[in-house]
Amino acid sequence: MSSRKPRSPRIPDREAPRFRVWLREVKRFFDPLSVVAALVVVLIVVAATFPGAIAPHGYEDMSLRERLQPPNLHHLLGTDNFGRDVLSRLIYGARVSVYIGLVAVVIASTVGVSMGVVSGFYGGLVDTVLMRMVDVMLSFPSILFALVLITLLGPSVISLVITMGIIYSPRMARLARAGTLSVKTEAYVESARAIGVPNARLLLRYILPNIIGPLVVQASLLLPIAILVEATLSFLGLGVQPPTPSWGAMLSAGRAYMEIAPWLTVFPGVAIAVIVLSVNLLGDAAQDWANPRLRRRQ
Amino acid sequence: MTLSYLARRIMQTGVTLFLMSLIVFGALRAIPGDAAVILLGEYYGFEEVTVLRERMGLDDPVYVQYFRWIGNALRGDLGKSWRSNESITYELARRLPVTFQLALLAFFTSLLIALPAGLVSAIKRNTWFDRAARVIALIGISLPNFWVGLMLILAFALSLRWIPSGGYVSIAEGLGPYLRTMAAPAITLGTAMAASTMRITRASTLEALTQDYIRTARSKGLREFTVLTAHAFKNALIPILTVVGVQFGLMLAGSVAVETVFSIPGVSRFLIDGVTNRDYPVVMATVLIISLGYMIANLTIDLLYVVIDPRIRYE
Repeated sequence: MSSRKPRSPRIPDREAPRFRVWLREVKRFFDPLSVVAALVVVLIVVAATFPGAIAPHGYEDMSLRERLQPPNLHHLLGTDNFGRDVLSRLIYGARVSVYIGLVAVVIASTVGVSMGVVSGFYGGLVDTVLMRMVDVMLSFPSILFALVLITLLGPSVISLVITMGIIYSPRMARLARAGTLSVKTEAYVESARAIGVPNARLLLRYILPNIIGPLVVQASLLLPIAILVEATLSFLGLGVQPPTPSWGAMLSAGRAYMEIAPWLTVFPGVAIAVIVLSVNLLGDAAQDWANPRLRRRQ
Repeated sequence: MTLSYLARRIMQTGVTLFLMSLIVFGALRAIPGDAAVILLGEYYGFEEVTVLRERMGLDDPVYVQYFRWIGNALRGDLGKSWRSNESITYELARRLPVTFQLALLAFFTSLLIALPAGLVSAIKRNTWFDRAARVIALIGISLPNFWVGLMLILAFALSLRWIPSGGYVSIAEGLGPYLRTMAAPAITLGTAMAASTMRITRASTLEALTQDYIRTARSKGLREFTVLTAHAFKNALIPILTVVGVQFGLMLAGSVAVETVFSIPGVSRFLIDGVTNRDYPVVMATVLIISLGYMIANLTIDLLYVVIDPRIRYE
């Protein structure tokens, strides 16, 4: 962080035409593998946002005459034990997986960054108390905290989102604190303080914009973890409850029919793997992109 | 390494564990609603609640309840399950060895895959082997491990019928049946771990290979094998060990889904049942035990650093 030249939030970069700089950065970010990953993510996000427009059937449309059909032309990925279309349920399930993951990461980022920035900026007792809390939370596997919180709140979408938001905030807090500590001694922060800029404005307009890069990268690395944890908890029956389609819950329901209808367990797993892999690839690309050491090598 | 360092680390572990127990106990006691009411379910009378509250000691102040619980825990009594009324200590004594064996087998499986793959990947950098290994590792990180378990059951238990689809057989009943039941869960858990270990092995070996001492070793005419193993790999071990240590601890927790998939009667399964039934004493006890295992693993790794790198000294 400290090696990067701090930019004043107000002065635009006049050295090169904006658009060309932007284009160069975009080109550098998108190697072919990342492009494929990005396309997959866009496709899944579209499916998650407009499932009704894409899914061939409703996610609750039952047809007992068509139960447990293997993949065929009418039901591309087969049907489940209630005769519901697996493909449609996967598309509706994308909504749950993607949005729970996203909201969880947003909560984790908001809570964590607020904690970290305040901790780094004010120091003293606030810093000590907040960071000890973070230390304790980071010294245990986060799934344990998740399970304790779910015991408390009971299994539901809301508690899943809150739980993941809480357990992943310490990592963001650490990073935000480190960034704040290095930025707050910079001359432009000092001078802003000297001319009487209030603390809240100092934090939001002068410090936050200059530490946001690594935070975005960290958040993008958290997203695939959040999606996997949601799937795991829903698989264990501790997350999204039926009949809402979630990939984890579909896997869990399909288990009972594994011998006669393996497609019920194969496809939701493939869906999870594809989105997590794509987001991981993008996260890796973002990390390389933000890393100045690797940047020079290219 | 001095004894005082060891003593201090053990003290620190104790303090962190104490804080953890406070947080978990506090959180579970802070629930809206009454544990006795939750336990009685939908139909209960005022009298029943009062009697049960008294029997469970819920009328005492929270700190009294906490010290009673932690005092008993230190004496080896972790209380009784609300659901089954069985002793939790007894249940854990039965289940801990099962989870531990699973973790250990998975751990060796992962090292067996990750160390050679990472090492070769680093040496043969940018060859087809390297690329393939890296892609496989990335896929490995992205696969939900419980799904890998389900697929193994589908292929090897349901289709080929080589292995049972789950359960647990003690090693006392013979090595063959034991390995047949434990192989699939160990591979499921081990491959999940192997991906990150392989990535860090590759990265830190690459880092070590660029150092001056490697050039020195080569120029004094050592065999390439010796250069790679005794010089590069040995120096790459510290970061690898760090990741492996964290992974071993995480595996104790990561086995929650795997134990469910393979119906293994381990600690993690006990924890999930506790969470599902909102059986607070079970949740508290298992979380504490798994945390303890995690911290012991971390402490062991810290101590192993000294064995591997004599330059590291703890004061």
